Amino acid sequence: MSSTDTAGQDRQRISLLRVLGPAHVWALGVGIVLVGEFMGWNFTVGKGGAMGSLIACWVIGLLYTCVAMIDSEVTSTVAAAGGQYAQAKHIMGPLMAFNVGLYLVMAYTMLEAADALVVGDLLSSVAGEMGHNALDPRPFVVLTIAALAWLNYRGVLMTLTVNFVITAAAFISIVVLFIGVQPWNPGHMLQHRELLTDLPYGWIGVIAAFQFGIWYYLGIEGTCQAAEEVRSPARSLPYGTMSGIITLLIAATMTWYVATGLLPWEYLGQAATPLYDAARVTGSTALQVFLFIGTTFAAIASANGCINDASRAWFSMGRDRYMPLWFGAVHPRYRTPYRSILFLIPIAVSFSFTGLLDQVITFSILSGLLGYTFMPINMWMFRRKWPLGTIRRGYVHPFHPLPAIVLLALCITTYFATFLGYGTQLLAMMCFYIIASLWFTFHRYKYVRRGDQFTMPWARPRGY
Amino acid sequence: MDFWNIFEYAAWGISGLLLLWMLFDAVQVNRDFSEELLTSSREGELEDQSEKHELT
Repeated sequence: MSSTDTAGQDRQRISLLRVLGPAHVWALGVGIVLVGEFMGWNFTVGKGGAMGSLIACWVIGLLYTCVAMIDSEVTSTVAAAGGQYAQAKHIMGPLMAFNVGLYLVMAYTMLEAADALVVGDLLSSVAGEMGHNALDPRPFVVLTIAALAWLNYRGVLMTLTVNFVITAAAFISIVVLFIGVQPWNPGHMLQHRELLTDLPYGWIGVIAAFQFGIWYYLGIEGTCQAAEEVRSPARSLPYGTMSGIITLLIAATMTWYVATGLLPWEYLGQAATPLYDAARVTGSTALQVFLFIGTTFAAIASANGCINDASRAWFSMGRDRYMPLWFGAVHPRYRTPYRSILFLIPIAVSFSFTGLLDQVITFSILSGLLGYTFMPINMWMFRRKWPLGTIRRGYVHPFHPLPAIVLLALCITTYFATFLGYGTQLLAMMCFYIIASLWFTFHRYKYVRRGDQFTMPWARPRGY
Repeated sequence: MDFWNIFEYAAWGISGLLLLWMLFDAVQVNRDFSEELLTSSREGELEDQSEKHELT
């Protein structure tokens, strides 16, 4: 618990606990995302048809592969809680860092609310099928958030170990469904020959599908939030993140293959639980049970990871006084950012009590997208200020600046796609962040102790 | 009152208990430890020497 401060004097300090390994990092990243394979991704089918959905799946997969590569390099060097917030602070400056921190907190808290809503709705539908038609989902929404917040409050090792188990179970349920429909025997269960059509709305439909293609992967960048709690950030973060994106690319492709082979695109494009529906079409009760468990576990794992990530981002902003320092406290026994965890509970509950799942998830996706747009600029500045060989990197991504260029181009395309479907929300979100930036610049920044926020023993950047 | 109604009340009850437990613990920690200690963590304090950000 004790360490030495910058002046060299012995002084007692508490910090977050370094107990995590690559498997926990994988569980954090994949856990947040995997719920998107069970629901949400299928709206790509509604926009672009089955083939348009596959194009969106792989193009957005490329976007997130670039995100994973860039994140792995930068975060293996900027090994601090807050992830992209800490990266922005060191590389781009305070205003960008404040905005990125806010994107992270908003994206994860809203996703957490949406996940809790899903758990409540799933239980309501089970109660409906068993003859109880008026089950109130709200107590289960609150229970999901409260129980997971309690788990997060008590310690990061147990939190992410639980996430590993339930995420692995949810992933296995997708694999079981894939094997269950006998992909080696086309025409027996899978009817791709009959169900796959041309692009029903042409290429503009494919572009429009990009905004929902994000569901396949949204949140993999959350692995960076564990940077201050992994035993070896330079090794664990790249391993966990890259294995996470590989898992998601496999899961997303299997999901698309099974669902489009069992359900017509007109139904799939508006289904609430497409993988569960696909399991029902097979007529196998065992597969149905598997997929129900998988869907529930995926939603719980996602909410769990979101609480972890949102609280770390808020904690880091508090520690640097971008928010009140009070939020930068660490629990002396559990070594968790307990005040940030507690503070975000009522916010998540109020988002979920609105019941507006699509609106909540849209704001979450938009905040995520703003974060991805920052990454290529951040990467260019990082390589320019600290060229290879001037600072130790745990991982160096290949082909720079190609991933950054591809990421920026795909982000711009996805903004256009989002504007087609949710233009008002996109503009509202932009206004929110502009107002928040003005508040930070003209009010909050005077409380920031500018020297105290940079405590890493880094080499001086080139040109400074 | 059927099983599902009891389930609803149980969910409210357990949520309330968990939230109260966390609040109570947070208040106790705030009382027992100084604010300076609780907010003493610093970014980038790496225990493993191999993680140093300088090339040697």
